[in-house]
Amino acid sequence: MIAGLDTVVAALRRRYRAVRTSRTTAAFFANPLNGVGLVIVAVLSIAAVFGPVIAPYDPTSQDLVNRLQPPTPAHPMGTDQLGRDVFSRLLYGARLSLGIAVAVTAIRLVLGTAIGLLAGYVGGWLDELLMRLVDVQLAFPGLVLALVVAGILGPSLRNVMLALAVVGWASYARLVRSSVLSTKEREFVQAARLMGVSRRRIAVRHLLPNVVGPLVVLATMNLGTVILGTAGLSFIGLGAQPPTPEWGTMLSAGRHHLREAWWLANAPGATIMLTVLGFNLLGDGLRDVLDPTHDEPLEKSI
Amino acid sequence: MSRYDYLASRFATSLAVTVGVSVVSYGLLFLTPGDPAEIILSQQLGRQPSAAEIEAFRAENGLNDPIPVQYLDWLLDVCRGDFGTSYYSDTPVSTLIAEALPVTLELALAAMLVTLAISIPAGVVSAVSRGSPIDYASQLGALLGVSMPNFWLAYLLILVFPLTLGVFPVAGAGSVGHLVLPAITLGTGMAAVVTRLVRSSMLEVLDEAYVDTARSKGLRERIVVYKHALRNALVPVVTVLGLQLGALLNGAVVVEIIFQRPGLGTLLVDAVFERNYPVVQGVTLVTAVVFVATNLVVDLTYRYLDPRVRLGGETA
Amino acid sequence: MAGSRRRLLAGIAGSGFACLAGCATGNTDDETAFTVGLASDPTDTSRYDNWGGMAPYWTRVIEPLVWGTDDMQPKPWLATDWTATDDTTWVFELREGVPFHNGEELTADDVVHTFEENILTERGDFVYGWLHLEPGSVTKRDEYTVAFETTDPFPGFPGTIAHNMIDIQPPAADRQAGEIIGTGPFTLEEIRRGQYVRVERFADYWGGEPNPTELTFRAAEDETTRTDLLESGEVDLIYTPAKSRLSSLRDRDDVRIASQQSTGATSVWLNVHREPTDDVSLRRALNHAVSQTELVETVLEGVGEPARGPISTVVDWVDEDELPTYERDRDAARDLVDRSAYDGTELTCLVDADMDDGKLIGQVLQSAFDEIGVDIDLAVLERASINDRTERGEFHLQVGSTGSNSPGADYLMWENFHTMGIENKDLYEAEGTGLYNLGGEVDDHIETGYQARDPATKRDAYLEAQRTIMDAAVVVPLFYQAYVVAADAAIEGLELHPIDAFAEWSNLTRTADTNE
Repeated sequence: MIAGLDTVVAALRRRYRAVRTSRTTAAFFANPLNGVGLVIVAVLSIAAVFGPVIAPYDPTSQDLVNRLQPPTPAHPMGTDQLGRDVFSRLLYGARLSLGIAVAVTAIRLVLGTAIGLLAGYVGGWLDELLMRLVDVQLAFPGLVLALVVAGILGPSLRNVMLALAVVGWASYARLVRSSVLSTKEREFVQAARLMGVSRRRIAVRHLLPNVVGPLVVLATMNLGTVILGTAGLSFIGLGAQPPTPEWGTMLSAGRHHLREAWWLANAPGATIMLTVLGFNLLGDGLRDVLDPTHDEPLEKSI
Repeated sequence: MSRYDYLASRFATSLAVTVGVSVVSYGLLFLTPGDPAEIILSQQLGRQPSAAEIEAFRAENGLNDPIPVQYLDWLLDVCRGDFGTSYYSDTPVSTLIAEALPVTLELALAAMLVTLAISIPAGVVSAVSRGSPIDYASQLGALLGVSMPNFWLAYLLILVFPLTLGVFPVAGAGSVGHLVLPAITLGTGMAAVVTRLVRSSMLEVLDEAYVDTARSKGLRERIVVYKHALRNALVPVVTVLGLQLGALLNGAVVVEIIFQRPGLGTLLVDAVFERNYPVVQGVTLVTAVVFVATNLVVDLTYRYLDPRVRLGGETA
Repeated sequence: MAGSRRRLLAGIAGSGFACLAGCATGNTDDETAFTVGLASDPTDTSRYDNWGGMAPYWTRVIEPLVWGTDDMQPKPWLATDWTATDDTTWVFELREGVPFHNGEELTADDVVHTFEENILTERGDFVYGWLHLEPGSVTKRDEYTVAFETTDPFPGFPGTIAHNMIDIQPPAADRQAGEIIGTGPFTLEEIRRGQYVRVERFADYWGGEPNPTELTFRAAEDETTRTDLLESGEVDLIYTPAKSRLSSLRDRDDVRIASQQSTGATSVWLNVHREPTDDVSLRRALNHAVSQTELVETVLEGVGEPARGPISTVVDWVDEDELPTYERDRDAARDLVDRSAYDGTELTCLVDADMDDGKLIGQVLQSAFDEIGVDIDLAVLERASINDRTERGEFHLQVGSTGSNSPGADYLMWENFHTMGIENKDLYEAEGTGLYNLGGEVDDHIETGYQARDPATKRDAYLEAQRTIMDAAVVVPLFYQAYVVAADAAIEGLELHPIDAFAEWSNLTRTADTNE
């Protein structure tokens, strides 16, 4: 496997050399696992974009006579309790699960960055207030708070996304703030300020770029944790309504058939695991490139 | 900043956060779509309350007061240990929490042991053979643990241990045996973080001079690695483990449901679905306060243990 | 604090919806101790604290005056005989020499105390409607005779109080403190919240000493966990094993499977007071879209019987052969849809998240209705959210069940279909509507049936009501429920009853050779 990867790595390396410095690329591929992450994420993205085109069946079309069929060439991952094609459901689910992950992460990123910028740049009592707000958010175990929020709002994917978004912005705010604090006294920022550049412009043009690397790393890893969080909430009963082919819902419905129809739970289970693994590995790789000094531990769910 | 100033400011911050946490916990009630008075009353009565009933209920429970006043009333009660009474029984919420908290903490501790049992060997092996296939394999293995949906892992464990091998109970609580599978489920999820940390702090410590000195005395390398490096490497590991309590509580919800452990997680999920707001508020608050308190203790202990950490200010 | 009325109805009506997660210790090696895995949590405070501090069902610690026969007739229990002395007066003769667990003998004072203090005063108006009693309506005639004055003529009274919840406890019992004193074959020993209830043999039981020395009732609300507990040997017997495991359990020599039709019936309930399900053509079309047989044979793995009416045929006044039939006929259904006021909007279908196989059944229905051009949005919700929606009438369809935990099942007709029944009354009084009430002659028939002393009159009146209800397609009947019990093959002597909570444990034995 490593040998096969090496050829892929070599090919990728040749392609990249033209556009990027070999040092960056080399840093990324110094750890072979980073390449694995990149491949997994690439495959997933293709599945998310082209899933509905590739999928051999409609993800909701039932065939009760042929329910719980083991994998065959016609149904590469078997059929489920209602005779639906598991492979097709997974493909459709890719778009949904990745979509949720991207949307939730984007909200977290925007919200957290805005708050972090504001706190770090304005400072004073506003900084104090916002940072205490960050502390408060971080004081709640994320999934627990998300569960309560989504539970009270009622079970739907929209509420799950909302709940996951509002409990996950604080680490972004902290990251951005600390970077802003360390940058804002540097010469080029001072110079810009003296030249009369507006505060907003300084924040966006001078302070933000310095934190993009770590932010990208955090967001990549977050994509994985959001997928796990969504699956967890689905298991508790707060996720998608049937017949939506959401991975977590498929996994929790399939668990009843773990002994007789192993593919039902294990196909979505393995898919979720690989996806999260891919994002974690890719995040590690990006860190090697974008944020080599930092080694913040990754988090489990949220 | 002196040590005492630091202590004072750290306590003040924790207190501020605790107050913030209580505001959020109380405010959860107002997330409900509709009028909380009507919702509480319809839960109690099991039917749509009439306008007169709602008004009477509001007057009786101080719900006509401004919300800050209502919050302060609640907070004062909470400070006296009174979290209210479950809507569906006469049991005080504090009793429910007092019964559930030890069950969850027991699981959290057991899970931490599992995490250490996986992470220390994996991290050490990884560090010692840095860059080798063994290193990558151990990193990948740890990451697989964190990437697996924990309920999937739980059901696979049940399939393998009680159902196939006939060891450990399927579900329940009360004995050490009942703890094993839940702890493995929860512990493997954290192993990735800790393995990585053990690895990196081992690498750091291995680079330090005194290890070289020890090595030069002719001790076998294995002993050097374990005795000196590990001991020093473990300080930050223990710290992070404490800080991972939040992650543990996250995972505990699902794990408790699967293994039918009557802990805070099951209590909370039932309460959320039953709209049992006093229980939801109480459990949320207690969870967060436990977390804030643990952070404080870990932080102070860490600073006490490791004089290299500079005093004062945030490390951000 | 008054419990939720609807919650109590769910408890009383039993079967209604099945349940979810709880737990307990393994059994001892004692040959006469048994552990039972229940599909509902016997320690669930939200359901039972208000009713005597423990689960009245299954545990057989506390007992009612009347029990039920296998064909759903009232059967003498703590009362040996009863007579209606006039339209509203029932006189009950108590069994003499029945000891409570504290050694005292059961007398009329205990019965009066139980009804007046525990049942009527604490429960409030919901119980009045159910039992047709009010505070002050239960009086002692002599040491062993009690009179009940019902608020209106109520021939179904003896069958209605044949219910685990209408149990007799002496004044000495401090129920809220968990001191339960009953007359049953078992005494309460231990309750572990969310885990189990443990009872022990009561040697002085009036019906003779039971065989088991100890029974542990474990909460095991998740069907897969429940089945796993049986397979791992942690419990000896479970109710309702996971359907996905039935065929493999049937193949095993060390597991015995038994099944029994229950009082439950599952249907799709159509809100006849909301557009467009107020249109009878649409409702008939929905009936023609579904194949009950296919549903039972596939998703239900053959457990249960295809249904033609909303109430189980176990109930004596139900005769499904007399009801109109809707075969699956998609062409006819599409024609009916075309003729109806349905304009293609998405209809909301509520499914209780805790209902066994609810999501699967909901999806099968969704697909079946889609075939005839009717678009359904499934809302799988917890019961509290379901109640929010039903209280406001904000739904079109609901997958739900009827079922009775007492032989007197008249209330199934009244509460569901009568305008003043619990499902319809609030909306009727507020807005002049309801949910499943057609009003008019249906109300009349139900009242006639309710008041009838003669079984034939009752049957005819209820049949007429059901015929009208099915003709107007108020429900899409799905299946009559059956429940399955899976047990260690070494266990013998379990007697199943159409009311699952009337299980008799006294004769349980374990043959020596096999265990585990």
